[in-house]
Amino acid sequence: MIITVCGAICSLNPSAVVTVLGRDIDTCIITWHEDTPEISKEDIKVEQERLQVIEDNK
Amino acid sequence: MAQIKLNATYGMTGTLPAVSGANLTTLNGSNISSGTVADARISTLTASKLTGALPAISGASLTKLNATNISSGTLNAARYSGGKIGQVVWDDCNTYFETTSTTLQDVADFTVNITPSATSSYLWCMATFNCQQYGNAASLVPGGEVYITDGSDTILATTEMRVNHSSNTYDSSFAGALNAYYTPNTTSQVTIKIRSKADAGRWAIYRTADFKNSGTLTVMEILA
Repeated sequence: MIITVCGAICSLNPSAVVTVLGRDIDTCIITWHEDTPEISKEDIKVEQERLQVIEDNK
Repeated sequence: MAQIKLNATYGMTGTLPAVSGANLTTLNGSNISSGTVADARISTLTASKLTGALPAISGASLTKLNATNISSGTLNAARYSGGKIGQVVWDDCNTYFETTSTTLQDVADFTVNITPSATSSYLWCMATFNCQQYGNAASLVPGGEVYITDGSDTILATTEMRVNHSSNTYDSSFAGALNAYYTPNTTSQVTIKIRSKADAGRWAIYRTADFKNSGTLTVMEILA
C-alpha cells in the first residue's frame, strides 16, 4: 500500500480535518479545515517516508 | 347561301377568319408558335418529360421523400424526432482527492461545461470514479459520499459508501458510478461537477497512474 500525504497527516494528527489534492508531497495542495493546525510539508514528508518503510517491510 | 369549296388541288393561303376551330382535326403541335397553353389542356406530365434541377418553388406538398437522397447540407435539429443525442462532453478526473472533511466540496478538475441547444433538452450525466477509504484512529468504519451537482451545487444524484474494517490500518478500494437525468431548461452554459465528502475516516477519489482506472464525467444533451 502506498502511504498517501493525507495518511501521513492523519498519522501525525489523527483528528486532522484536511483535504489533499495530488499524491506528491512537493506539489500537492493541502487545505486545512476547521482550524486544524497546519503541519509543514517537510514534517509530512518525513512521516510519509517513515510509514512507507514500515509498510514495505510488512 | 353561297358555298366555297376548297381542296388539296387549289389549296388555301392567308389567315383563317375568326371562325370556330371546334371541328379541326390532325393539328400539329409543332405549329403552335405563340400564346400560352392553358393549364386545363395539360393533363399529366410523365417523369420522362422532366429533367434537370427543380426551380425554386415550394416543396410543401411533396410526399414520399426518401431520406437516402439527402446528400448535403445539415438537417436542423428541430427535424429530428425525440431522444437524439445533440452533443457529448466529458472530463477525465486527473486529480487525486483525499479528505477527512465531512463537509461537501468540489472534487478539483472533475467538472464539465455544456451549453444546451434548446431549453427542452435533457442532460444525461454519467460519472465513474474510483474510491478508497481508510480507517483511522477515529473510525473503523470509513466511508464517503459522491454527488453529481450542477454549478449551483444543486444535487442531481448521490451515492454513499461505507465499509466496516477490522483494523484502522486497513483500507478498501472500489469503483463507483452515478447517473443523473434532468433538464436545466436553459440555453446558457451549464456546469456539471462531482462533489464529495468523507463520512468517517479518510476518503479518496482518484485515478490510477496508468489511467486504466480513470474516473470520467460524461454529459450528453438529449434533444426533446
